[in-house]
Amino acid sequence: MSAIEITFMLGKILAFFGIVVALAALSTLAERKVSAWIQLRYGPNRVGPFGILQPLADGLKFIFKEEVVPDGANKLLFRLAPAMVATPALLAVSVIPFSFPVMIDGVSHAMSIIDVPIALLIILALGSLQVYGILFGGWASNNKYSLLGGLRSSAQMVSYELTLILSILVVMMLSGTMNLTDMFYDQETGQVLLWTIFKFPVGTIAFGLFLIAAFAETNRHPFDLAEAETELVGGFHTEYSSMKFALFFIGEYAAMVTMSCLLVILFLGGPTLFGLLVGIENTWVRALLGMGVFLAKLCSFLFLFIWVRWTIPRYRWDQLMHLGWKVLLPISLVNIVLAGVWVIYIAPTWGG
Amino acid sequence: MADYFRDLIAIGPELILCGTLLVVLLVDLWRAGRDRASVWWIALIVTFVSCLAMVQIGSLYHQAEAKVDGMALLPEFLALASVYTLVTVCESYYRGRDDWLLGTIVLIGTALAGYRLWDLGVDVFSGLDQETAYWGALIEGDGLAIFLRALGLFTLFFCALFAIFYKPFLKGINRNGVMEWLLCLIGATLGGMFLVQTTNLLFLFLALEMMSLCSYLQAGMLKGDRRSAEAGLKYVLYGSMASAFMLFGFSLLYAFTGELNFPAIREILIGLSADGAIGDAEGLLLWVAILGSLTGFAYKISAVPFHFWTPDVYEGSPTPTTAFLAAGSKAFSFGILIRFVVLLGDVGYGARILELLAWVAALTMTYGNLAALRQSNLKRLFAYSSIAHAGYMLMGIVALFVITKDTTSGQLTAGSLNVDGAKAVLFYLLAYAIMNLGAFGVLIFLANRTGSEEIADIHGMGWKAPMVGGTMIVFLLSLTGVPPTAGFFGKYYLFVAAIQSGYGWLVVVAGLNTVISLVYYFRIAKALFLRGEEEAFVEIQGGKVFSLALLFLALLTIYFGIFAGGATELLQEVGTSLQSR
Amino acid sequence: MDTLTLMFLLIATITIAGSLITLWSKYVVHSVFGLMLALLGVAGFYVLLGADFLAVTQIVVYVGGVLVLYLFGIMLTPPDRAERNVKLIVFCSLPAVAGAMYLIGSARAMEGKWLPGKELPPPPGKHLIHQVGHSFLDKDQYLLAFELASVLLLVVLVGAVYIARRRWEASE
Repeated sequence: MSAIEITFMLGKILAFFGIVVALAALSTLAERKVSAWIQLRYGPNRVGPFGILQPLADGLKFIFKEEVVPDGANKLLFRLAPAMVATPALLAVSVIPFSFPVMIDGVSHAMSIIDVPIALLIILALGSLQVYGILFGGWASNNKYSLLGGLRSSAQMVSYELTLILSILVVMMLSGTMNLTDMFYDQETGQVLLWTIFKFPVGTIAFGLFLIAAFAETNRHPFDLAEAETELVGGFHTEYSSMKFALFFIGEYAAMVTMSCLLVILFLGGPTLFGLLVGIENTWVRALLGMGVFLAKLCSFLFLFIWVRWTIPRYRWDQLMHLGWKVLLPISLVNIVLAGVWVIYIAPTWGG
Repeated sequence: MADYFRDLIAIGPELILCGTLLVVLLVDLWRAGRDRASVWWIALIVTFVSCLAMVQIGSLYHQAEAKVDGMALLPEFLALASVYTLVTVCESYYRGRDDWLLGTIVLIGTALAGYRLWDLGVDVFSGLDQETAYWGALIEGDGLAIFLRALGLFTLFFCALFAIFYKPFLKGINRNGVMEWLLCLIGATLGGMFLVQTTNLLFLFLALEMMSLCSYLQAGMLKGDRRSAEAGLKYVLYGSMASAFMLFGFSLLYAFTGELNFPAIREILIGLSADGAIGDAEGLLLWVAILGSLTGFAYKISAVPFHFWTPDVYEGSPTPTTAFLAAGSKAFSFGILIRFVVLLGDVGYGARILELLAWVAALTMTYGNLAALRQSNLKRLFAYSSIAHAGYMLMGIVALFVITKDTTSGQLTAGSLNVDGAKAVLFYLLAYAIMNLGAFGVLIFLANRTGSEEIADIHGMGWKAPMVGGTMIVFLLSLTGVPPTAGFFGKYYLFVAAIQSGYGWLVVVAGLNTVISLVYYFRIAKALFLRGEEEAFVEIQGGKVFSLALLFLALLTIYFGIFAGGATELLQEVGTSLQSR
Repeated sequence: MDTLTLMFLLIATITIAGSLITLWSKYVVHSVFGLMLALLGVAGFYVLLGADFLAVTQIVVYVGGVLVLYLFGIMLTPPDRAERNVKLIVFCSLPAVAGAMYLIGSARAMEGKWLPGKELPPPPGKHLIHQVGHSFLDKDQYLLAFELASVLLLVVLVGAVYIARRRWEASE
């Protein structure tokens, strides 16, 4: 490994984790700003211009808060749980390509921290690990609201994971790869119609399913029953304070960012922009522009997440399960069959 | 497509069983939702699609197989039509009283699978098919496989038949579980049928687990019966432990040879021992590997150190399941055990294992018979008797090789294959399946009337139902091994094979055991007939079809007790084909 | 000691420690935590052996699926049952001791010359998934096993649903 490659690698690690953590922090601000905007308020506007330094102030506040470990809590698991939520969410960033590959000394380097053929599966595996933090956190708090919140949230995640995986499977069938870089290249041959979302009906249905499942996976509104304030106080993190609480928060928002990244790559062609960028000779320029496009798409999804939260009412518990098992799951199974038909009969006629 | 046909035809019976499974599932779903219009439409579409598929496959089959004349797949077509008719008739005439519908569908499917198997068998035994490895050598369609699959279908047929008449499946809460039970029964048989065909360690494990998992489920399926739940749980716990040991053994075998297929493993082991590359440490490793693998089989056939589950599971399971465990599951496990021992018995440290197995056989039969003496519950008694019978059959496995001991070095070596051992085990499996199915059938017949399975409750029942009582006497005689019944010839062949291979002492033990077994089998006969009719509280009527089935089994027992020649000739051929390995 | 050995030792420690926690901890939930460690450790072994796909599948299926269901079952039981009987723990350890002896025996045997019958193929690297996929769907490899597994899952699913189902009286 040459010096430039090592530098490149370190740069990637710093940049991508920086981007995700910053996005996670900024989306807490955005959450409050957008909600204020929707409700005709101002939102935070004291710290820095337009309140832009608010997340920093929040972080400082968290650090100086007292750490409370409730009496009768299971100390070990209580302390481990926040880390178990935040770690997988942040780890998942390492396989996501944020832009086009660049050439260094004639060798193509993907713009993800590690470039593996089974990137998609790794993200799924890490996503499934997040359940533990929530379950253990809820159980270890020795509080019935926490336990119920933890159980609800994990039941929800397990149920919707099926739909999530099945809709990803469709994308995998359409593109024939599990490597995320190859996946957005597959959608990029100069035709708008080759983004997965425009492959009607298969890709569109898969997109819809994935979007709904992503909301449920990240415990976002309208599926945030795990922390339904009116029923469960604060759900699994009722008893948490200080940095531990902040870790849950970071984990949650990082998961949201990861899901948005996946949405962009799987369905909206990642950093591609209607074939405009692929032709650029200088790979570094191309990568930079691509990253800009990627981040723009990403932010629009983050906005969607927030927007939905402040406009749509919360589901009831039984409605949630009904939707997951009796509506989304059958649809996604049928969609897989449709995808098979697509791959065998329709895709060859498109020349893609 | 055409190159798949050869392999697809080889697993035709299994495919038909899979189809039966789906039909049962569909019919049950249809019955659950028959008042909805959408279900009618779906039923119509499914029927149409399956008919179309039959025509399509039939014509393809016709093209691929030159020797097929007339209409290919005609029997399948007839079966589909009869199932359709049955469902329609049930819908119009027997609505609400059609508990026999699903069982009958399984019977039709099994008969059909039997027909296909017959086709295959004719080819194999007349020597048409020389090359018998299919699906990338995952399975082997040789004579042994054909015979044991036929035995499995036979068992499936009668277990399904018993289930139609088994009272808990007709009344009370378990009525709703018949579909699930039948699915698990078919699944277990499917697993077993693949188990006896396979020569690949991975596939072997998959098939064995399929058989085991479906059996665990069946054992625990009686709702509201604590013994059934206990049976299911015990079976799972012990079973998973045995599977773990077996898997560990397999992994060592793979690590040792780098191969998964039996013949390849054998070749490598022979090569290594010819090179003198197997020293003490390697020998120990191989020993551990084979011992671990055998643990799984020993558990399934309930040989002695792994027999603990047998009485509880036999007692708690629904009786048709018990019949399946005793006849089917055991036959399949012995089948794969024969394959395993034939391939690995005379390489490396196989001789030591065989010597160990001889002791296991002696212990198993003695323990089973002694423990059976004091049982008051009929199913428990038969459980111990099945342990004893496993001991007898192990004798035939041991007799597969002649062991010679080098007097100077004390080194054990296994000589050439003694096919009489395989022949004896297979014949015994056949006889045992027939008589055990019969005995459990009688048990169901009686328990349907008395509502209990204790010996004390069947006093004098023989006089109330002379035909069924009489068949029970035949089965008991056969289980003991008295001529002219199939059990007699079974024991006779086993003893001959054991003596040929120089296990005189084992034959003596087995002979003594036979005498012991007479005691408890006689207790049942005594309870049935030597008590007065007035002691039986229950009035017996009806059950014509069921008694006829039992009579058929009894006649079969006697038939094989008199004309054993035809079957043994066939089995001789099976044994000889094993020699080529 | 090279990096690979170090990694192996680390993962082995995690796996064994996890298994022991599973066996011996007083709280059942801690046992599940231990089992999670053990299963993750096994996934680590797969990674060391170059079987990435298997490792990830192990995590998705066992850690993310099966174990969560265990945890569910345990959390829904009353808390006074969540602590384990010490006698039971000792009893549970007996098979572990037997297994350990068995393992030590075979480890002793492995001190002998290891006898690979043939050279194992090199790890497939980047085309791993393609190879796995092809061997599952190739008629001359494991197609039959793959299909049989699907039938197995169907049957067992139906049976398990029936067993887990509440009694029928309630619904009728």
